[in-house]
Amino acid sequence: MRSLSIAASGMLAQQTNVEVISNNVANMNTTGYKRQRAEFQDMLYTAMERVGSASSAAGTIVPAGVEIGTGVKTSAIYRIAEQGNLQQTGNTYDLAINGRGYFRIQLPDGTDAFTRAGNFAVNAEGQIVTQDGYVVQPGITVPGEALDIAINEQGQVQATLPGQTTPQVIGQFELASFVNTAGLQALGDNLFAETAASGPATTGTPGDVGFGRLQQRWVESSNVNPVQEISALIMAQRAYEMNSRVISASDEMMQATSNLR
Amino acid sequence: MDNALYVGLTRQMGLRRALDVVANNMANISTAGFKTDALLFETETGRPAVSQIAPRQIQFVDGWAMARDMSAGPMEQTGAQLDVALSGPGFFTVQGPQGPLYTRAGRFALSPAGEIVTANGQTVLSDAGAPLVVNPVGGPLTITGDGSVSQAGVTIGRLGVAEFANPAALEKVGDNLFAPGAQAPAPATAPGVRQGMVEGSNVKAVLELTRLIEIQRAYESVTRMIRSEEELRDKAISRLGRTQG
Repeated sequence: MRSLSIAASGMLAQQTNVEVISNNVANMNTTGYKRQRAEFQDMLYTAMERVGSASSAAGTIVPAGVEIGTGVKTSAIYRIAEQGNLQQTGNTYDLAINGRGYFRIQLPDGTDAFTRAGNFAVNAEGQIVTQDGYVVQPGITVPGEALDIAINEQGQVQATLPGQTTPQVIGQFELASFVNTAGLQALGDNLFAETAASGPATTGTPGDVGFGRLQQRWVESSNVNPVQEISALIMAQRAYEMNSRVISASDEMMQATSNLR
Repeated sequence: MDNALYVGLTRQMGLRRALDVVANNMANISTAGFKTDALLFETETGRPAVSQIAPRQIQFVDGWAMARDMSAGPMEQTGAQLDVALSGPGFFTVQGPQGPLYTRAGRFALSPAGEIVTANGQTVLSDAGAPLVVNPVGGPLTITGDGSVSQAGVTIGRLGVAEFANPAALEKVGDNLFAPGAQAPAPATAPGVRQGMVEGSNVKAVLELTRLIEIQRAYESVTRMIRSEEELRDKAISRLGRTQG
């Protein structure tokens, strides 16, 4: 009786669905978080009677054969790179990307990671770093005596120094873009790594064609829509229940058979 | 007298198969572009059961056929630029290992080379049978109702949308894909491509649940019939044994 394993595959799929939804809801207030979505596909079909096979000696064919499916599988968990809402914070080193692109971050092991969470800070050496203290590439050092830091839409960082009237350019932010952003590997801590599926990073200046603009003193909130998530949760829960109903039905049918003596 | 047992047995086997179909529908309630299957029963006319006393032929249940509900599933708005749904009866064309395959699950993505691909990485084909290559930094994509894909005002190509004379007879090959079988695809006249939408599964939970109950009860009643048939035989043996003795 295949129905047991088919229904089990359905329950497993809904379980994955609930896990993805709960992760989205848990990250509702995570800066730069992109919601995920579980994708499902039907599994192989067993052909009991193949479509188009001859049904009589007169040459008539079976118009629709008998193909029995074997259940469902999770094919992908996509990340939806939709723009999140921008929130004003008033913090000098908070940067939101309005449009495509990722900040390049250097991890302690020397490799690069990418993030859209632009809630940066300055470390003891004056470098602009993430909340975990990783340097934002290309390293920009803010002079300690600077009165004010202004970052414009194109990513130019200007510092107003004491005794000077014109602000000085001290650095330039860069953004990285990918062909397939859904193919990035999530590292946690709002960070992503480049993979063979995402393609190599293309570096550009904010505001260029294909890159977003920067907004200082704003952060990008997560793009999770709670209403959508809760209704998806309800549907996943009901679908789980229905699959378990199939299991109990096939169990009762088997019981009826085994009670035959 | 054995006939009742064997007729019941064919019914039980058919019901189990029907349960498999319902279970598969239920399991795919969240699968994009999934189409509901239903198993149809027929009486087996070719091989009638032999009966000595019955006034008419006794027939087995056999020779199943499949009915596939090809109606559109519910459209769900996702906002993703590579999510496309078809409001027409057509199918998207996908490059399979042995020629094109067809799907209604329009949850596409980009490959590292910039080609539009399915969730499994199979290339989505244009109406000319070629892959659609997108410039990764060329700005957002626009997909119009006729399936034309354009980026920053430049047309890249048109999604290949095919129609079939008898879509229910397409062969399901898994991974949300259909094989054309003996049918030849025709280009869709009105594909009705909708960007930012995805077609959900057209499985109707209420229908499947009622079908499940029907199957379960029918199975129980056949089981009961087999049991009473057995009791009848038991009685016959004991009674006939007594008259002889």
